[in-house]
Amino acid sequence: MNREINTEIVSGVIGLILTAVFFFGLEDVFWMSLVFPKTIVFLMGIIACVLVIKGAVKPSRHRIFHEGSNVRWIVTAILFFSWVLIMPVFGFFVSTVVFMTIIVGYLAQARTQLTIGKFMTWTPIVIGEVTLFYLIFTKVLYVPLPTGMFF
Amino acid sequence: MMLLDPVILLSIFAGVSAGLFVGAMPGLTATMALAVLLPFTFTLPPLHGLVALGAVYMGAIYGGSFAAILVNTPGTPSSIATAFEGYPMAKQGRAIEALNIATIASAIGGIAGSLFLLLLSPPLAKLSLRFGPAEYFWVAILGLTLIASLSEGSSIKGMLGGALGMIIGTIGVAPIGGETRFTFGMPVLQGGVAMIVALIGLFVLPELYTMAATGKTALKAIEVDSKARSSFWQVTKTVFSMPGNLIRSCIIGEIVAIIPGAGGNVANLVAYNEAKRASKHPEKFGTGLPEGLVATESSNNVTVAGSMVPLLTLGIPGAPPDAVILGVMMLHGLRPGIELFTTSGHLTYAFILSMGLAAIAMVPVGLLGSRLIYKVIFKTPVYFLVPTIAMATILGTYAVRNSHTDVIIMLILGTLGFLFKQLGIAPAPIVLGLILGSIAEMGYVQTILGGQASQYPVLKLFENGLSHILIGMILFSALWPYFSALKRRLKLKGGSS
Repeated sequence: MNREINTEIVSGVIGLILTAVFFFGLEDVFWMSLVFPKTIVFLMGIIACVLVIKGAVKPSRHRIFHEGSNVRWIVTAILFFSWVLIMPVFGFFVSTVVFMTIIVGYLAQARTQLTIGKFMTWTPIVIGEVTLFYLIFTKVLYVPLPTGMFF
Repeated sequence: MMLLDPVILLSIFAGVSAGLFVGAMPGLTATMALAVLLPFTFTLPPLHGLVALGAVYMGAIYGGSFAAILVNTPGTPSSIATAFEGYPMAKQGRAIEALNIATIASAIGGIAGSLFLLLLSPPLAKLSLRFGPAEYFWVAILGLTLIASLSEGSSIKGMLGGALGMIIGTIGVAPIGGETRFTFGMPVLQGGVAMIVALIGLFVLPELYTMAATGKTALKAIEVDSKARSSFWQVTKTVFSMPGNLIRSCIIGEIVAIIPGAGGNVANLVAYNEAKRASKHPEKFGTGLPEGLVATESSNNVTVAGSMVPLLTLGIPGAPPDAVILGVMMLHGLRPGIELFTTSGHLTYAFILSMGLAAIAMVPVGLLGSRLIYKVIFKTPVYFLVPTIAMATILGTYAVRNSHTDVIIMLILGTLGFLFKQLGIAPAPIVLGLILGSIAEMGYVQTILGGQASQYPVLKLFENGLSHILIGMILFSALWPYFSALKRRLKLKGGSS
């Protein structure tokens, strides 16, 4: 992924795909609800076309995903999604402790050698941190966090 | 004299500190802070309750700048533009300087807002009454002309982002008509995408992914040179060395604040744009200029007291937190209107002055708090910082509507935002489209509905004198970049010949 691409053309194509998605997503509703989104969808289509034309006429290439390790951000993103998707099953507290510890370990391995001793230090810190936020949100701010099968 | 009561002074300091904490957490808004504090004010005398709420409101709007400067994540929508200059400053090792500038500018904005409220309430309330649906539509369009300024690089890509933001804003139930749009058969989308959810996702996640990829935070240690520049007196001097910028931003903040529904979310962006336009070196904006930071932070804190103008005089809450304050006033039998300034004048004026005091209290609280938060963020290893910010982000998003779906939407938007950022589509225009799209839609449809009796309902948009002024401002704002480019070209030509 660490390569140069014509970002105008790619942005324009993505814009056109989104225009098509939203154009066909327009349901058969009364004009009052339709007039504004329809206008914007058309506007987005025009802007996307302009971008594609500009990219074709005056091509300029830019490097994308060139900062750091692509694998690391992708794995982090997968961990974030898993954390949130598992939350209703295990509850906020348990899923957060588990996934925060995994993410800490995963990101730390790029800088340091992972040992059981380090995990023994990190885990209580993570538990303390999560407990603090959990108590603030549930007891002070009265936000009912997802409980799942635990709490 | 009432304000010198130790309990009131304590309420101000406690309120500002609590507000600062809430504002610094992405996702936790001033409205939420006020709503949480509300039950505690029921048993307090009216003035004590109002003072505490006013101080929390002031602190929360200011607190949004902390996250914007230190982690490029606006704590509240009122500090979106703060990140444009504050974060680059932090990356250059000037975090404390940026935080101090935000503190002083916010305090000045808060004091100016209180003065506006104290002295100009009646005429400003009259002006706010002249804003009808057509004017709201034009205000939103005026706001959208900022996209060119907010785009990093290509303004066409910025426009694409703005259009996408507006479409995202139309997902769910239509504000007029009540039918659902763009739900793709998924009932969970009927509630739409909350602006704050998109804001958190689009600003925070790309930053977290970058930190994860690079294995380091973008913050640099404070430079020795910066230590001198960041001293309280030096920063105060820096802020006061731009009086034109300060006055202009405060006036913009006040004008935007009296328009119900706009508030600090719009004011900071407009003030930033105007500061850039008036600057002698607009090309340097986005690289860590104190001018931009002063403009955004002074304007958003003006809106705190500024939005009270329609509230105290007409009973119209200028922003969501004002509705909470209105509730407390009603609970204590205080009805907005002329009586509030006559029969209950002692309470009302004390409340207004207390907001000025809260603005002053932000200086010591902010100066101490900023150093503490900076140290915590700077000294925390990146492998702890990423999951901690992610947890705060998830909690903040969830707390907006107690919705797990919102958290998933935030993750999806954030990941898309990261991909868009790689392509040169900045998150700011998307959020701007999201904020202003709904205002524009309401204004447009209401105007057309109001003009159904005439042959050309759309002409209703152009009938009013205030609309003409706004259209003039839109043309000026949209054409200005071309004028200034032409001017520069002519100047260069003149120089070379």
